[in-house]
Amino acid sequence: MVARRGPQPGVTTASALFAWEGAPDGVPSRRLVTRCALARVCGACGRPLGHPIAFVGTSDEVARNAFHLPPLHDGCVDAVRALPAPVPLTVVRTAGFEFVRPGSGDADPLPRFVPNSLL
Amino acid sequence: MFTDRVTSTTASRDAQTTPRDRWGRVRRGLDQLTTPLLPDDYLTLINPLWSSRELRGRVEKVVRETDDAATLVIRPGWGWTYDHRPGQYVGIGVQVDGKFHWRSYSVSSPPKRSGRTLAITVRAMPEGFLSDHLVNGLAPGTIVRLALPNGDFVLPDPPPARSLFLVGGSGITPVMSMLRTLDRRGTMGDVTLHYASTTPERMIFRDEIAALHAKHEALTVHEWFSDEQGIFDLARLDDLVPDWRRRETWACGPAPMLDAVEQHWRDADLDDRLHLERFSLQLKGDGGEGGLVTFQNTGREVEADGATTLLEAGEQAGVGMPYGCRVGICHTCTVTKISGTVRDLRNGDEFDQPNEQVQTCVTVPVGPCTLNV
Amino acid sequence: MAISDVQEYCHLTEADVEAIGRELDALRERVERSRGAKDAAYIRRVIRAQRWMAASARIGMIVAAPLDKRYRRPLQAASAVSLGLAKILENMEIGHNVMHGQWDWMNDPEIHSSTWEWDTGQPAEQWKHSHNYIHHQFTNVLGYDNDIGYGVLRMAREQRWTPANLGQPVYNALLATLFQWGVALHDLDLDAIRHGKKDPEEMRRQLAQIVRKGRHQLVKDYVLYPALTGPRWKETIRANVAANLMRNVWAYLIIFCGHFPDGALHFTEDELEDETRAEWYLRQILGTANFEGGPLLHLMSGNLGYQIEHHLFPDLVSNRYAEIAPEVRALCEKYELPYTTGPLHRQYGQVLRTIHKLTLPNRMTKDDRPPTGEGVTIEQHQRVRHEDTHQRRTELGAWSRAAGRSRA
Repeated sequence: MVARRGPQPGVTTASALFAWEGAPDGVPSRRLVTRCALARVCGACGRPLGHPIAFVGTSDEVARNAFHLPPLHDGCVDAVRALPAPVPLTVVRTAGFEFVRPGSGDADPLPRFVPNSLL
Repeated sequence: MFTDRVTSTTASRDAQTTPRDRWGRVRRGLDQLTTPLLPDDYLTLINPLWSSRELRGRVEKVVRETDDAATLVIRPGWGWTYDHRPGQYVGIGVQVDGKFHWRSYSVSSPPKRSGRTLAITVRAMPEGFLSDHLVNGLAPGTIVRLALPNGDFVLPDPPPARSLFLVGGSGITPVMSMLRTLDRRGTMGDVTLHYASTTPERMIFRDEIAALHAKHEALTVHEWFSDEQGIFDLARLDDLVPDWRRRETWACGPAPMLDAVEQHWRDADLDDRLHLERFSLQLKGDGGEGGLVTFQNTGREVEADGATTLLEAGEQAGVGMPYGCRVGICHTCTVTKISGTVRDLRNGDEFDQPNEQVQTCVTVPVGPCTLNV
Repeated sequence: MAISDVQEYCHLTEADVEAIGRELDALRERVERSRGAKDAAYIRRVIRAQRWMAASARIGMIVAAPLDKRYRRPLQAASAVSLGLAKILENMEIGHNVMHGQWDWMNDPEIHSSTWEWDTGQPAEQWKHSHNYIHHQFTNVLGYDNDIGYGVLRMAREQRWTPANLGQPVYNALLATLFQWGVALHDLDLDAIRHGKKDPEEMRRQLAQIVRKGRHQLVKDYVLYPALTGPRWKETIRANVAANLMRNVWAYLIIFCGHFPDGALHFTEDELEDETRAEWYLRQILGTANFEGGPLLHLMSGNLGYQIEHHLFPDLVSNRYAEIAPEVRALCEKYELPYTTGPLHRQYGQVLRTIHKLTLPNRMTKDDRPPTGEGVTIEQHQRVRHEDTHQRRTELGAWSRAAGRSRA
């Protein structure tokens, strides 16, 4: 197996997640998702991302290889999966990702993450 | 973090100081000269193995074992500890098209503290582009990344008085490391090796095993060729190895074989005497019936037989399928099956509900099915 | 000139904007698909060359120390130049681009945005916030983008004039020579500090991180290596000052040529969050300027001579910008969009003119760009949304030494 860095310190409760701040409906703030994407920080704990980078998503998101939740540390995945969600979330790991802003004609109105180096 | 590292290295500097530790300390002392990089980042300019930032190794030799298998003899760089336990696997990261791909392979060489190399033996699997690259595309001199040895499928020291190894195909590699260790340490007790392969030509390490057999009277070797003799039936074990119940057993091979072994030992209420290593999928076994696989988003279709996984089928059809480990562990390849039935190759479970999540790397179609890809 | 509605300014229909977006998407996809072994070999080659240059420069100075003056001086000079070039290469083509995540796809933890630490005063974490996020998301939007003048220079007519701006020629010279420290303080947001909007605790933490990293940088260049050259320590200090100066002035020059030549526009848009991908592309094209030059010039400037391409695709591998530039340019011509470019000296000439002109109040000077119309004034600290720049910087900590996890 590939040697993995240990889990990042920190996050236990869902309400404390970095990108979800001030989002009572359980949807992360779009502004903070963008910030996570560009400043390359974890959506759960707000610290610089590690290697590999983890994304969680529904099977549909996994199939399309396009995720809406911000990038995470491997060790922060469980904190996000613990959030109430209608469907179970799958984890994928990648070395890198593309950040894709939505186009006006897109069926999907949200910015998304496209892993470009799945592990 | 910088500070963390300083603490952890201080902590590990306990009992004795070896020359290696001292040299490591010198290198760390030089940090201040190379900040924000590490001395190792510059030392790799001279020799790519002179770094312990990411473990590295150089492929010294590629020894062809059979038509489709080869042993890679790798000289590890700094930071490598040669004390793997016989039977463990290592991670190997190889650059293909600019990207590092990682897989794990059992070490086939015995552990030796003074050794300079380690060996892994790889069989090019039909579904594995990396194993094919390792066997057929890796030139001596290539620098690879390594991950430290891992795994519980190990031989205890001292070894048990009576042991049995049940091996199928390339499952021989961790067992070979154990046999070589027993040979080297002179602790070959009452050992029976039951080694199944499709044909004699595809049997890896056949000559070496014969030599070990000649050298050690206590080593019994049963060869089994399934192309001629059919799949080995465990019911015959009583004839071949009458005392199998009293032996500590290690089994490694294709999944269907391991499933059968596991069941057999469980029926005999001997689970605790059995050690299993599942590391590869044998896809030719008990497949599905096959069927037409439709990929909804691209509209592509492909006829897949019962031995072709959904992942392979998608790749053949040119559909961009997500994948990861390709052996059913990581779930990266999971997609939604909209309709139809698929079978899990590992356990034969069938999934026939609409809109179910399936792991495409280990499932085969049973009749027509549609995937949301 | 500042633009409040990009689309209206360009006289483009919504369909045109989307068509431009689609063409740029296709360009990006094409490069992503063909990204592979050659690109990986490129960045490894650049990194190796850079490390050899740095190592030989350091060793050159030590070896030169005991030599006769006749041999010592040229060797020291060559070493200083080599070190300066190594620092330039490291900051521009390697550090900047790796931290954008351009090379993450290689799955190499040693060349990854999460682990890279660069050879300059600013900690990587702070750079990834101030540059990757603030500057690339709010490119040239007045009141948001701190790169407009780095908090010390007045670079747009919409920024309020104060008597302090009379000192701009001096500030500019200081910024150029001390650029690495200007960048180091960049994420502190000097404007916010001036207006008392900075959380003091946050400032303390950021400063502590900068000091910790800066100390390592200074000790290396001005204590340890000089000490290794014994009695010639003064000459080594001089050589290292020269190398750092070389890097500072060069980095300043390249960065200022990216957004302040006459053709690069500023924006006053408010709603950036609902911007579509195509609109975002458009703003990047309008707000950014390229410069022309040979391959070596582009390499030494981190391919930021292709600043337009970089702003369109900040995480696309930099060695491919040259290849897509003609297509981006053709696309701009097709839709009559400005594609600002010119030789480096002309671009910088325009920057200098703007800096010096804006030393004076607007009524005393003429705009070099098409007129905006009304006398708009934008206060940096009034517009900036506090949360964008000052909120929860959990990533701050000890500056992370290049993957400090040696296993030996």
